[in-house]
Amino acid sequence: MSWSQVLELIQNILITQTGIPHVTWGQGVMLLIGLLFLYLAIAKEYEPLLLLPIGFGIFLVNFPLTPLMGFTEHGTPELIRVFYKYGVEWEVIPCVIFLGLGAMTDFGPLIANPKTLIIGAGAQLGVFVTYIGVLFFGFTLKEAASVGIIGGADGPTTIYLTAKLAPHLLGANALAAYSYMAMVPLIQPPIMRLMTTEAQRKIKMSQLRYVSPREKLLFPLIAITLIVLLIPAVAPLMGMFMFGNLMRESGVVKRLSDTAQNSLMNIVTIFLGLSVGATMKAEVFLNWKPLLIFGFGLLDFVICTFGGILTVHIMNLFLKDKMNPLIGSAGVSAVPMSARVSHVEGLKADPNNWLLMHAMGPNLAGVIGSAAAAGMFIAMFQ
Amino acid sequence: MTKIYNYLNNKIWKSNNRTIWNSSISSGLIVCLSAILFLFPMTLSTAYASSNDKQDKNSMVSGQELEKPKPVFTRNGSEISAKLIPRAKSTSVTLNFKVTKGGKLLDVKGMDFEKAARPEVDIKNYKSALFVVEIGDVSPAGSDATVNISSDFFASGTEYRVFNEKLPQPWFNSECHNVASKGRVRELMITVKDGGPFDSDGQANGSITFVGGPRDSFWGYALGTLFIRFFGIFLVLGVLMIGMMLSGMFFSRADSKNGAKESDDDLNSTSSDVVDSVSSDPEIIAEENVVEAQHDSEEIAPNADAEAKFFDEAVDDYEIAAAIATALHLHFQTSAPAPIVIEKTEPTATFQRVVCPVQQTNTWSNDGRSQIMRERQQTYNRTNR
Repeated sequence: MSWSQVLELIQNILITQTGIPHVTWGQGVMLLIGLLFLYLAIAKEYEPLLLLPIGFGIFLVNFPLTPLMGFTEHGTPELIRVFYKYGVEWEVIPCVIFLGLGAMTDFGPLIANPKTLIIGAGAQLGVFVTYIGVLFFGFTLKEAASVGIIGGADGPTTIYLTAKLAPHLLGANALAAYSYMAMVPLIQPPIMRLMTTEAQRKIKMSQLRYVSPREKLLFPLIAITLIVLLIPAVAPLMGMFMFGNLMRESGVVKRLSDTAQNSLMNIVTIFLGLSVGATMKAEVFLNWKPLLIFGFGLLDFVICTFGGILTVHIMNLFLKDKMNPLIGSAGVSAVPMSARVSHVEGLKADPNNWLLMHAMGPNLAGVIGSAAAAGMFIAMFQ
Repeated sequence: MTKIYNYLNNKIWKSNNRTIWNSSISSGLIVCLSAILFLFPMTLSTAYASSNDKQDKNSMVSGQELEKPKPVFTRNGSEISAKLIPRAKSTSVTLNFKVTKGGKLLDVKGMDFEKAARPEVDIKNYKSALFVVEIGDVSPAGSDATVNISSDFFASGTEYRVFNEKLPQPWFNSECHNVASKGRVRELMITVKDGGPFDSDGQANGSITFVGGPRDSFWGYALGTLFIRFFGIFLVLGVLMIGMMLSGMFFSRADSKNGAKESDDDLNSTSSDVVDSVSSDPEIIAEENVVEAQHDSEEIAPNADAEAKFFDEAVDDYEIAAAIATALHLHFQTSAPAPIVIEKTEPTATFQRVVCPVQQTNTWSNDGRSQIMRERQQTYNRTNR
């Protein structure tokens, strides 16, 4: 073997078997974006359970020639593609996450004050405004719906709807949803202060009534009956959500409830985060659409917060016992962060005003509301 | 920069429970983060998209491209069916083509919209693709044929637009008859003249090539559905709210009935227990009210063992009750004089509301409430969403 042949061999190996010659600067940008999200997750603790795997997914998949998100010559999916295909594409993981969320959720505050359900509906305003807004930028109806749902501030719902309607936008939508959910304490307070007077922020609400365990037990059955009769398309999400809650409230399947809340939830979160991050390859992500999605996602959150507070103002015109409008912002799902924000803002106005439990009502209503909005969109495209 | 960083860090992340945030700082952070998220990749992405020759064009996914209808045609006698998934739909629909008068349906094919694209025509209005309909045996040549297109996908506002590239205005409305048929099916009936403007070959030769597609207003649909679905959410959650209110009334009533029954039972049993116990206790016997109870209970006390048991339990209960009463008394004495008001109502269909004291400014009660809220925040900490 001559030197030229050895050099040719080395050259071939370098070109075909290593990633270095194939690195594009687009991938470099994506690696930096991956690192940014890892930083936000680790250093700033912004939704770390999701942003860490998503960030690492972005980071990993943007190295050239990596056999992770493609298919082999025989059509077998590669590692992360397997997670994506069976978890996300088949719409399994978001529903399993909803099962865990149901098992974690205490609907007591919502049952005690069902009026707050209307706030959860009003807080979906941004979903529909964004839906129309992005249509002006050339998005299709399905894409617009999947971008609109970001404002519902519910990660699993966003992923579920996007995987169903516009899977090519999954990465951007999920990232926008989780990023802005983490930024709820930054986004909401200025809007809350803008939309309320000092006196309104000081409104004290009467204590929530006692909710018996029997009532909590029957709630998932009543809720799922009514919701699925009206929006059958939302049955996978709400069905799992209410099933999880029934396991919790029944008290007879503690092991199953604990598994749904902890182990199962943690397992699917790993696969979800990694596979969502892995959808963000440079050639897909670096175009104008994800950027618009981030822009409209922020607008969506703002309008949803506005919609929730506005709904409380409107409701207060008819209610004898006035509600504190600060709890309106909690209508944007994002449990429990937006409820905490309402609580904190209430405390700022009056150190003796305890809004947390009152805000949990619209917060849980927001979960149901955003799932209902997703169901509406799914039904629209059937 | 370090100063700014430290300021922000202290102000936002290390402030009291990360809660007291300055609104200007919040707004500033939003702007900064938005800039990072938008401007940086935007600049790079534009350059990247234009410079990277190796980029796989197929991977630049377009929603329009993904949603492009791909009709599959099947013939059933004189009728041809096109099955396709229209734009903005996830389920397939079927369009049935037939010629009811004046000719014979030879073939129906799909046509790529790009061939008929014109600036004045919006592809979004054509959800179910374009079709080339070929009609033969038109006799006599130059006469009319009637094409009937039926589907449950059509709405009352659906039009059928014709495309003829030989005309100066290639796109025009066919002025079809849109009639309701069985079930939700609607029929579009279009009269096509051999050699007329709808005939793409332009000749009265006994065959017609008719290009066009059903058109629905995209914006009409988008805006219409926006309002319907937004208020649909109110409707759904409103129904749920009514359901919960009704179930709440039912449970409150049931609970208050049970509560009343249990409290009556408790009252009876407690008074008898108390009576039993105090009757054997020389120290308590001295109490005036207990003496009365003793008189009442003489007939009730069953045996000495039971008496001793009730006695022990009752003394414990009394101690706890006394401690709680003292604590509450002291608390309300030291705080603002807002008494506990309990609206005691008879069991009815309404909720039994307990009006708690107005939240006090007293340090002790505030600390207690803070403690409770902290615990609740822990309960509602669902960070792994």
